[in-house]
Amino acid sequence: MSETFQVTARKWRPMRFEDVAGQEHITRTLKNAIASGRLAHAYLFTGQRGCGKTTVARILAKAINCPNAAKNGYEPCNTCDICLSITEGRSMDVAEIDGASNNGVDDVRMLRDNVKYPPLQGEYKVIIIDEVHMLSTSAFNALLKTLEEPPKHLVFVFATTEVQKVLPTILSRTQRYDFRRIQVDVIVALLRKIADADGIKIDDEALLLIAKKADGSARDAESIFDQAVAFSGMQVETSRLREALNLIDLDFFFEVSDAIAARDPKRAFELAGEITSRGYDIEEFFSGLLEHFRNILTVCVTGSTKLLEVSKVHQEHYTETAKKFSEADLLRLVRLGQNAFERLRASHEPRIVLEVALVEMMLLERAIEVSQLLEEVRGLKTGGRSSGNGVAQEKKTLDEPVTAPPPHSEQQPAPRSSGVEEVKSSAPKNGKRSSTPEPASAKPRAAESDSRTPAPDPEVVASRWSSFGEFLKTKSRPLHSILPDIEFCGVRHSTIYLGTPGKIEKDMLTTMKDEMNLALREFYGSSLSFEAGPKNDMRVKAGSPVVINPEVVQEIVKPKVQERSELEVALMEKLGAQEV
Amino acid sequence: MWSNVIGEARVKHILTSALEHGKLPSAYLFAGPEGTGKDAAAIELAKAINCLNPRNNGTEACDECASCSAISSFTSPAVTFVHALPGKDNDREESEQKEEDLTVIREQRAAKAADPYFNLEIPRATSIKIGQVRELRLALSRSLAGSKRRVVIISEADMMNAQSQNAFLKTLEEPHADTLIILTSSNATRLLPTVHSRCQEIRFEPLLVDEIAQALQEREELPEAQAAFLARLAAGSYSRARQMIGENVQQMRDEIVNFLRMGLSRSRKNATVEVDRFLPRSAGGSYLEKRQAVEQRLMLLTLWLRDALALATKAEHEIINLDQKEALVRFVSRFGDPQRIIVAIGCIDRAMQLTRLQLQLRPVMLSLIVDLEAALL
Repeated sequence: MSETFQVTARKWRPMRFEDVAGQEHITRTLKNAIASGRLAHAYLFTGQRGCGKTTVARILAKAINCPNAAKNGYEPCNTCDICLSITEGRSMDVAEIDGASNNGVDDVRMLRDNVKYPPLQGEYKVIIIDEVHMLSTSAFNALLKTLEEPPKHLVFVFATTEVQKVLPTILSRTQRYDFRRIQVDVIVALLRKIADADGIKIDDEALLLIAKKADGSARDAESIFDQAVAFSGMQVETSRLREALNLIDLDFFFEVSDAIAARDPKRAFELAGEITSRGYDIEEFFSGLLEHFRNILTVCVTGSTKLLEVSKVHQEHYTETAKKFSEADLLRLVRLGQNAFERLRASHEPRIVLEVALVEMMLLERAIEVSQLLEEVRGLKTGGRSSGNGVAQEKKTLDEPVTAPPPHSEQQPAPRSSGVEEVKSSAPKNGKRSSTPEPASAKPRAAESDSRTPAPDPEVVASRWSSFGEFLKTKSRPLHSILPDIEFCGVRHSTIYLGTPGKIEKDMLTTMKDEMNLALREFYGSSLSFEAGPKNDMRVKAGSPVVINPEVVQEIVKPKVQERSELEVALMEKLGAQEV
Repeated sequence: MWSNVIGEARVKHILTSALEHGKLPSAYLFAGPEGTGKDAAAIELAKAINCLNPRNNGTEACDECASCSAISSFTSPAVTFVHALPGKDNDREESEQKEEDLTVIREQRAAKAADPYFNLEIPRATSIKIGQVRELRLALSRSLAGSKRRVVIISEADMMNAQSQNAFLKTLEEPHADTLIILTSSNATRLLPTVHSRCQEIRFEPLLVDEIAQALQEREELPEAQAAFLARLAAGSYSRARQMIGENVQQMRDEIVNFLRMGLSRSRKNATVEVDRFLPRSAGGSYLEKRQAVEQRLMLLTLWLRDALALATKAEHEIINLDQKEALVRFVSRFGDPQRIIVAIGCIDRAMQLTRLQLQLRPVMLSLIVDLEAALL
């Protein structure tokens, strides 16, 4: 069953010059040379994989030996004894040598000895050396003499994909033929012929897909075609083909660009998940995405979809999408994509590179917004304070997606809507802060400290505790750094009770007591002191309800495997490390 | 049976329908990430082709007949399994192996036969030599009695250097009608375009977390929770998941996360201590071992930061280190700027590259800490 199947690339290997797809400039020249008897003694065929070098070499070998060639317009007849023996590889006159495995000087010496004898059947002896770029330098050199002045009956044909590796002294002794990449429509026509002959139903869109993926190579196209047929039988559908070839649907790229336009970083992970779970190649995804950006950019710049090689439906889609982006955005997206492409090569974790790159793209600030912002700034200069709001607002929208959720604290975080106000009121006090938005926990509430309360009202102290954190940042960074781990347990009689997760924090608070007290006094404007200790103790002292922290429960319930040093306990509690 | 291959439903479908329609090509290229079962699928396909009592319309091996068991144990004359061998590439002569190497090779091949997901680790085996390609060509020219079709599996075909690949082209394009060549590679881009173009390329996708977890439970008899944990960290590679079984991954992860925290909190001194925890200053371990330790931890740290990024962009359900969620939430509440986390991931990437350049590890790690601090704070 399976023994009888021969891959299309072999079954359909052209046997006549006119069957060779997309290389008319070469086949015509060769036919003319045979017709006029001006055959060169050495040919060099170059071109990328699968464009017909070896095939043409074999046809040439037949054409110059076939006794019927002159009658057939210098095409081999493929029926005479000579043609058949060459096709079956048993001709004594035609030797096809694999340059990669017979690359030593000894092989060439042997060859040189053999070519002295005249051909047995036909007119010419033909030596085809495939992958000739793999010959060693000494082998090349050993060949030079024979190549320059070969016996009359001898024709050399060299085939290679890497002509730059062939010595110049060889090049100058041969006639060089550059094979072209085969055009997409030529490949489509070729595949159509094969499909019809084999009785396979396949539509033009599917053939176009295959031809594009084959990238100018007939052999690639034919083996992809085989794969498609093996996957879906005698009837090939485009959707199944995409699945079989793992081609990424253009619609998927639109999904990506929509998510980028919507600046929805959450989608980045979902999309990355889809890419990997559908088995798409990540490198292929990036090159496809870059092409997609290029298409959008083309529409942006030219204002029309004429230059795009896509279907009608997608052209409209591109027009729509182009409205969402500016040229500057697209250029930056392209750059991000290229960076990711490079990182991909070096990374062991392609999926993370993909995720990070997608998040990066979705966080990209729009050039439009920046230019609007600039406009606002200009307005600020001329229009004065009233448009200052505008700037703040604009800034806010720029920041929003990059600002993290506020620090976790029991107190209510500053509501988002008041952002504008805050920026405004903090501006006079600390100009720096409003111009450079602090990352993460920046909540410039501290500035409200002008409303001084002489007697510490527990409610007020509690509600402004989170702002105190910000204030502390400007006073003492060490204290600020541990603050998120400290729980505000309550106020009683001018004493703030602070719950510490471990000894380190407690010690630190004790040693830096003076600084802390000073900061408290400055911020709340009245003499407050504090006491630090384990959370639950402090809660009791402060008179607030004891909340059993699930973390603590876990810690108690879990049997300890080994004794740990205080430092480790502190680390675990403070930093949330878990025991293994 | 195809159930020997974990997941990869799409690949199985392609292969079985090719078997069913009798449309097997002369050469396949199985490309895809490491540990997704490319070799396993190749062996399974070889069995299905040669099986004496094939099931399901001739698309599935029975795993019982003489042919199947011979192929499974790498003793079948019909199946040649080629892999990288140690020694110099001395072109002409057939590659001769030293006695001690032979023992290792035999052991490794036995392990691979017992479990196709095993990664061969033969010391100094850096390439598939041209001598091997020549031997193979010679072997293929001889006829074969008793088997349906000869199958050549070239494992990690990208280990062939340019010379071997070129020497293989002719065989690859026009092998005997009764020969199937299967190249497997996790770095398929390193293969020449001329090789690619002669094969039908079949892409393997990263395995799903559930598939890995289930396989770990069934094959390695791991408890469910551990299996799920390792499966999440494995990034779609069954081999990697299994490699981590013996090691205390959780502890490694916690160490490296502590290292990160140290760097971001007050004390640099502690960061040094943390580095020394997994990089014993003088005692024990070759550079390679230390480097692997560092690379493993950096990988875990990357995963952890990636989770932080997921959390910071509100994609909670994408988190891999589920057991660390609270710590991640706390981390993100402080360093939650996604842009900065992205920069931090870039820093780790660079540190990875530096370790691969074989630089001194401690300075690399300490400078990483400084970079991370600059990135995040």
